[in-house]
Amino acid sequence: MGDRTTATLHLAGTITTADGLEGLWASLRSRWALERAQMAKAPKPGPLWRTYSFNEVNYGRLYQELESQILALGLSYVWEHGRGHDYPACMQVWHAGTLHHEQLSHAQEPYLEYSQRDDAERRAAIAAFLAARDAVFAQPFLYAPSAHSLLAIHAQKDQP
Amino acid sequence: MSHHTDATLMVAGTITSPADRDRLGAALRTEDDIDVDVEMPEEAGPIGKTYIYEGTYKGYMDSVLEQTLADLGLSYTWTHGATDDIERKTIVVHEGKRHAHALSIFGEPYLCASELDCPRARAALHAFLAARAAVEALPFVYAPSAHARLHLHTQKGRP
Repeated sequence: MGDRTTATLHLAGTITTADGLEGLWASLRSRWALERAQMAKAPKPGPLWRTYSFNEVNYGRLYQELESQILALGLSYVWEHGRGHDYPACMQVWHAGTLHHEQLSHAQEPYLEYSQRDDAERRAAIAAFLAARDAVFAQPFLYAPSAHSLLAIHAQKDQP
Repeated sequence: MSHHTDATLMVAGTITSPADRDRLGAALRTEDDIDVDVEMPEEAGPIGKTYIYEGTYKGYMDSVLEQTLADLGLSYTWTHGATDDIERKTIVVHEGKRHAHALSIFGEPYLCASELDCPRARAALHAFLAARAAVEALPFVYAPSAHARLHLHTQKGRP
C-alpha cells in the first residue's frame, strides 16, 4: 500500500446556471476522472446522475479546486476513497451545507469501535452521517439552467 | 497496495512431550521466507509466547502451523494487518473454538453501522473479547511430565 488510492465522486443537486459549469467539467477532465465519455458531452437540461472515479489520489483527499467549484454551484456530493498504507477508507458527505466525515470499514460502512460502545455522541454522529449520505444518494443531479426548464423537468418526472 | 502483511502469533497452553516441542518448533518455522525467531526450551519452563511473521501472504496462517497448534491442543491469537483486499483481523482459538473479528486501523474490534443493534453481532464481539483476554492471560509452558507441571505450578505461586 502507498500514499495514493482510488476515489469516487457522486454529484447531486440542480445546476441552475452555466456560470462555473465549464470550470467544473474542465477540473474533472484534468483530474482524469474515468467517466470521460460523459464529460465530453455538453450538459443538457435534465437529470444527470453522475459518478466519477479517480485513480492515484494522494491520501484520498478531494481536490480543493474541484470541491470549491462543486460548492460554488450549490451541489451536494459524496466523496469516498479507499485506504492507503497508513490511513483508512473514508467517506465525506456534503449535503445542504453540512460536512460529514466518516471512516469506513472494509464493507464500506462506518463503524463503532468497542471502546465507544456507550458513547451516545458517537452513535448520534454515525446516525447523522448515514442520514446525510442517504439523502445525497436519493437526490437527482439535474441541469436546469432556468426556472422554466426546472419546471419542465419536474413536469416530466411526475408523468407516469 | 500489497498482497503481503505482517502477522503476530501469540500461543498459550502446555506442551507435554519433547516430540510435541520439536514438532511445534518446526511448524513455527514452516516457511523459509518468513522471518520468525523461535527458541524451544530444553528443560521444563515457560516459553516466549509471541512470534512475529513478516510478509505473510494476505495475512494467512500456514496450514501446517494451524494444524499443529490444533493437534497439540494449544490456544492462540493470530493478528494480521490489512492488504489490498483483506482487512486487519484477529483470529482467536481458545478451548478448540474459533473466533474472528475485524479490527479498525487503531487495532480495536468494532461493529459496523448496520450491526449496532444486532444482538448476534454484539454477542459475537463479546465472545471474541472474552476468548482473546483468556488466551492473553494464559501462560505458554513446556512441561513434559506431571512432575514438571507440578513444579511449574509451585513456582508460579511464589512471590
